[in-house]
This record gives sequence, C-alpha cells and structure tokens, in this order.
Amino acid sequence: MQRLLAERSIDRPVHPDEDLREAGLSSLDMVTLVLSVEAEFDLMVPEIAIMPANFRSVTAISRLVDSIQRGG
Amino acid sequence: MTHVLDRHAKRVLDMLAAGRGGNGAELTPRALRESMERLAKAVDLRSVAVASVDDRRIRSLAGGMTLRAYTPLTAPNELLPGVVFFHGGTGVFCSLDTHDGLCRALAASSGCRIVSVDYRLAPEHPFPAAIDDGLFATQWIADHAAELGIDRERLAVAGDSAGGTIAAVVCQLAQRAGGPRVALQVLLCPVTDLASESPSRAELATGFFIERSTLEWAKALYCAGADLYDPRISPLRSTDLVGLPPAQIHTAEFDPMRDEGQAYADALSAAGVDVSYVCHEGLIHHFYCMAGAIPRAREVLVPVGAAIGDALRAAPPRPIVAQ
Repeated sequence: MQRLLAERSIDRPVHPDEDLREAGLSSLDMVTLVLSVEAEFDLMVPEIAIMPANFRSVTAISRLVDSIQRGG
Repeated sequence: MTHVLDRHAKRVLDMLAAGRGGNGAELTPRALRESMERLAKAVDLRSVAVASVDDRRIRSLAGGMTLRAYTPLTAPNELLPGVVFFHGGTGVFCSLDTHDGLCRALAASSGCRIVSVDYRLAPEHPFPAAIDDGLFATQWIADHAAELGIDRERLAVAGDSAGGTIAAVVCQLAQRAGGPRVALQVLLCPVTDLASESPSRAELATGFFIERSTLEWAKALYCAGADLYDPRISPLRSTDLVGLPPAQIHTAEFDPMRDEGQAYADALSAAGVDVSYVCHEGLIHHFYCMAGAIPRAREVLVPVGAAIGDALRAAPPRPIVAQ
C-alpha cells in the first residue's frame, strides 16, 4: 500500500493512520488510488464502499481490501 | 437523454467525492499537472496497438515544440489522412502523455495519422501562446505533410476540452488568413465560451469531474486579463463562422461544457457549415481519456474515430476562400 501511494499519489512517507487528504492527496489522486488498489489486488470496490471513511488512511484502505477479499 | 449516469462514470465521480474535503492538497499548476499524469496512467488506453509512436522536435515560435505522431496499424507506409490533435486541460495542465491513450484509440479507429501537439501552457505562457502554437503547428504539419506521410488535402484539426478551443480557433484563423487548409474539425467536449456561464455549467458546477472553482482558477491563469469575448478565447463569440470546415462535435450529457459545445454546433450549422453533433448519454467530461475506468468510453471512441476517417477519405478538395 505504501508503494502504491508512493508511485501513484504522494511522494513522501505517510504514517499508516495519517489522513491522506491532509497529507496532500487531492480528489483526483483519490481516483488514481482507488483504481490502483483495485488493479493491484484484482478486486472491485463496491459502490457503497466508495466513501471517504474507507480511504482516509493506509490503515483504512488495508482494512477495506481485507474485508472485500474475505467477502469475495 | 437518459438522465442516468453511466455506472462506471458514476464510480469515478464517487471516488472524486471520497477524496474531497482535505486541506492538504493545494491547488497549484504543478500539483494538478502531476495528479493528471498519475490519473492518466491508471485510466487510459495504453493497450491500444498502433504501428508506431514517434516524437519529433521542431523549431517553433518559442524555440522548440514536440510533435508526437501516431501511425495506425492499417497501411502504415501509405499516404494517409492526418489529424492535428490538441489535448485538453484548461490550457494549464495535461500533456502529450495524458492524452496518449486517446490518440492511440483515434489512430486505430480512424486509420489516420494523428499528430499530437505539445503547445505551451499557462501560467508560464498565458493566452495567446497556446493559440499561436496551435496555428504554427497546423501550418508546419500542412507544410511537411508528405514527409509525415499525410495527404495534405485530407488534414483535420481536433481537440478535446480546451484543446477543442484551440482546434476551433485554428479553423477560424486559418479561414481568415487563407490557410493552412483544414478539411475537418473534430471537437470533443469543447470549451467554446468563457464569456458567460451556460445552463449546463451552472447545473453541473460541482461533482461532475471538473469543478467550477477549478475552471475559474484555470481561466484566470490562462486568460491573464485578456478579453473573454475575444473569439480566440471564446470561439462561440465569433460573428464570422461562414465557410469554416465541416465539423464533428461531441459532447457528454453530464459535462458542464455540454451546452457550449451544442451552441457552437448550432452556430456553425446556422452559418451553413456542415455539422454532425452527438451528445453522448450518461457520460462525463474527460470520459474519452478514462477508458480504462469507463469501458463505454472505449466503445464510443470506435465510431468517433471511424467518422473522422470516413469524412477525411471522402473530403473533396476545399477551395480556400480568403475573407
């Protein structure tokens, strides 16, 4: 996840619980991040799960990916 | 009109909404340019095959300019119709790279050579630098058509969004100057009027990919105090549209720029120009560059490109009528 962020969104280390938007992630970067997460983990984030809380931090995204992978 | 967002377009808008509200992302040309480059890598059409993609540096008004030529797989060695392409991005962001997938798709679906132009951006180079570069590049490509494998009589100009503005303005200026000869203009979700706010700009001001606040910010950087009624900024404001090249104009139903694209189609048509106009239902601004995330964009680009190829191959030589 840190690698995805570094490649696709933010060019500095981010603490797992740091709010990504406060760390400089723009809304366009969020699109890139969600699509990159989907491609990297070969999954599709359900529409209902595309909400700020699930993408607020690295921890939140990891939790979301885990939950989708368990569900699928 | 269906008035229903394409579900993949809606996902993109939902993702944008999920990223809104931060205080950390400052709106700067550099930040936006970098965001668009990264987004392009995640959503474009890299997989579309072409025979070749060649960058070429030419001497231009500002010293140098890069042209990127796409050769389709069909008949790569023949003299083919050509399309001078101007990428969008409000005149402030985007590049040859962000629109690489779109140019590949258009080369493949049109069977034409596409030449994408790396014109100068604001705020480093505000209006009229982009327009000057657009006209210069079109003239250069027309003058070097044979060398590029392009049939000079079958040369179109095309662009999306602010690149559509450049394409439309190049046609107007070329018409007035008596050249270069343009056989067709192709405008994808073009910006045609910065002098007033159309109903679709008001209705779709927030939450539809490009925000009014971003458009206003970019407009100030691009125009840098120039007269917004200048037809080189707002081609819809030109009072002289007679004799312009045939036009293919595409808009998207959920695009703030929808109404001004349609208004330009109507104005050209009223001036006797041959116009085909399509509003793509359910789609959003910039959809044509996000085919990796919006599968229907890929489908739409097939007939869009085919229509360009068909029109150019059928184009009769156009007399130049100096005004």
